[in-house]
Amino acid sequence: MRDLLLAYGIFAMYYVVVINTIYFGIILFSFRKITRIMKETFYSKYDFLSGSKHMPPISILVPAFNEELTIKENVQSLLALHYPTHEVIVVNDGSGDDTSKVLIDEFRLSYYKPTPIEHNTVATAEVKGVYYNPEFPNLYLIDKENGGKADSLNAGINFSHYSLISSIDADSLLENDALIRIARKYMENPDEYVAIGGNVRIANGCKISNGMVQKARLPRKLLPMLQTVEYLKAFLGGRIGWSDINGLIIVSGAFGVFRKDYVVKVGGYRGGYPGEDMNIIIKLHRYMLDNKLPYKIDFCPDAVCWTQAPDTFKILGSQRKRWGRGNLKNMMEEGAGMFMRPRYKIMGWLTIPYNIIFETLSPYFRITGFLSLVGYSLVDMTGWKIVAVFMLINVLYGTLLGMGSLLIEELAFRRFPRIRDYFKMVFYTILMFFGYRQLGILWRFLGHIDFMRKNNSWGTMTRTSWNDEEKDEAA
Amino acid sequence: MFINLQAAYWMIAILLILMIIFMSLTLSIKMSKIISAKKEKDCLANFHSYLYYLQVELDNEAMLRPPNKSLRSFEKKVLQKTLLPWVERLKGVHREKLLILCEAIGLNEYNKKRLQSPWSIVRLDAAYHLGILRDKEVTSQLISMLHRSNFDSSICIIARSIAQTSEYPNEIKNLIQYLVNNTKYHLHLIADISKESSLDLRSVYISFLYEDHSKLNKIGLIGLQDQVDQNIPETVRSFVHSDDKETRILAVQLLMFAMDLTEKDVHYYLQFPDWEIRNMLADWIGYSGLTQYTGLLKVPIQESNWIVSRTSAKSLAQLGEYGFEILCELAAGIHGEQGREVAKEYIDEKLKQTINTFSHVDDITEYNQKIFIYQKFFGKRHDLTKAL
Repeated sequence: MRDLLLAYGIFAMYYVVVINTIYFGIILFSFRKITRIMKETFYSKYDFLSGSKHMPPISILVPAFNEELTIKENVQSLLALHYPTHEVIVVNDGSGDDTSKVLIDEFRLSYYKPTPIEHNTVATAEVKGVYYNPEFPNLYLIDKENGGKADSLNAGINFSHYSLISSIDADSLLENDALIRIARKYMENPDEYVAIGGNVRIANGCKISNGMVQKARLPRKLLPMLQTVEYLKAFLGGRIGWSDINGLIIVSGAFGVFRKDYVVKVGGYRGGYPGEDMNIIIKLHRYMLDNKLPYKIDFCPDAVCWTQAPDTFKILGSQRKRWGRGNLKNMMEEGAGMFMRPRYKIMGWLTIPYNIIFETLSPYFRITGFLSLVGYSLVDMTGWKIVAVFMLINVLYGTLLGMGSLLIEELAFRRFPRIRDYFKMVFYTILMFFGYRQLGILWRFLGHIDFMRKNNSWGTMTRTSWNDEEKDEAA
Repeated sequence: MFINLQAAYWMIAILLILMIIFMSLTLSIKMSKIISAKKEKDCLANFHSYLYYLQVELDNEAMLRPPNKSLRSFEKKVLQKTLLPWVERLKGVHREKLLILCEAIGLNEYNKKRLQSPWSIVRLDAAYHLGILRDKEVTSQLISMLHRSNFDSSICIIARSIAQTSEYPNEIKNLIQYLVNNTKYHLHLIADISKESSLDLRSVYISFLYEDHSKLNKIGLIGLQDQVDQNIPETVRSFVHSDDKETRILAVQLLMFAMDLTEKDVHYYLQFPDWEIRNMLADWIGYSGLTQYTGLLKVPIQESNWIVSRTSAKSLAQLGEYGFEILCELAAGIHGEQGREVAKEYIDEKLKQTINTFSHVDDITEYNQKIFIYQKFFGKRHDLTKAL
């Protein structure tokens, strides 16, 4: 029994070492791509492109459910974007609060009865009306019955006028050149790019005014700070590398640009479950590979979107459980059919297997591995050295990956130039392994249980006004 | 289960070494940036009065004088960082004066040396700056650099510099052909790059219209849209019937911008099979205030395509009394049910807009005229009057 517990515990440790090793390989791809990104970041003439009539017009879709606290600043920031032709379509998804009223009052919008739509039709819940003010000619508010985030995005697609669409979360703020940066990337290969994701950064702690992040600062609270280093690792260390081999499995719902024609061809966003951002990307990969069409799904790390990170365990737990449910649903619905199938190339051989074995199933291996080590320690303490060494390897490996991402950040983006910020981020990268990671695994597992019990609620999500953030900072 | 503690210790050592390397690299980059920013700040402080002199003298006729002392490389780099954004933003005489000054300061020589660097990122940086400096002597070097480059984002940077420095339209023509044949760039991006050139490229764009290459045809159509001389070659009309939708749209767009359309043409394009073209024409009539075509919008406003119908209604609302009268006819159902709802929306909106922008007598007259037309069709509607 004792040997069995130790053996399983060590197996789980090896499992984590393998995950870290694969991730290290992905970070090496990120380093390979970073010179190209640096060239794009430093030398592309974004100021001039933002005034060029040659940029493709983009419809920005903002699904909003109970977003009365942040929606005004969000829309202001979107209207102020430096981009030649864009429209902002806010879709109020049957909010129970004053989301619509806040916008109607702020922008003096008038009601229009919705007219039948012929183009780009994706089925959605009933649209009650469209609100518009000619003084803000590129702003529309669609008021519809509640149908979920995916349904709202589909309603936005139906209404949109342009062939490129951008999905943006209502609690996020785009940097004013974010859209131009992502559009410039699209213009390098418009025939093949079907989706390009932006970089999501944590806004907690930043100085914000007029719907814009004026000064990037690290959060002061524990949870947002942990999420800051977590996001840096995921986006800079992970997504740059995955996109380098065209194996990106997700374009964050917070900010991404898509070819509308292909999104419509794959049936639009899938409703009913969270994880619609991952689902649409897997469907796009599948469609393009099934039809043998050349394509790329890329990541544009210099196009930045700032988002509010949950700062309480309750809200964070709710978010992570939702992600867990979404991931499981996507792997069962889409991933299983692509697993190890040669026609799906990198997706079939690497991305999907990595996600199923090391993401979806990881709570089971990790939790049972942890429990067997605890059990082993209770039975016999003589093997503590082996356990301690393996645990140390995992902490060091994880920290190394975090430090690799911080190096990428320093090479190409330098949002946090102060030396003390660097040490703070390294400290939190290490701290993450003492409780936060384990909690994340547990939440994901609980998300799977919710999935089995068909609990499909969105969970707790409380927004904080951007102005409150500002006041907190001032205090 | 394979457990080898010795191997595990080795792994810990390797991980620690890698961590130290990553940390040292990050910190050294940070430190060098901080030191360099401080040095730059100090250096700029020394040039404070000189930069003030440049700002004052920029509007005067006299040439700008370079600094009295000879400059070190670092000082040149700092001045370059300040002066080149000015060059980019200014046009005409001001830009010319600054370019002469930059040459006198030695920025061209400084970047030409860096163009020979063994480091590709330094060469790219030099190419970028020589483009802004419009250094005509380096065009051939930039062209060979372009041909040697990997097909990544550096192509775009070098191509812009070639367009900025080239003296001959033929070089730009070759550049466009190279980009079309060797990259997957959006044609609008290639056209945008070619427009960095200050040369007259009309002949280049026209020559593309006669090429047997659809991408070059499209670049020709895009490029000609910004030309001052609006005599459009007859061949453009043949592209209206192209098999490629984008080509058809670009051709009609060009004819529209050149105002090379008769009433018969407008009538024809408002019924064109591509909704994008119908929409474009309907929009153009409105924002250009082409009142002579007002009556033609009766047809597209009634069509089932939601976007075209709304655009036509919007244009009618922009076309004065006659446009408003047509909206009222449609809203009253004289022409049937199609377009009735959208016409009503725009009537309400137009009346509200007119009353909101009251500033002088003309506005009141315009409002009264609209109310008069409105009441002709609908009588007195108290709810609307009250809302207004």
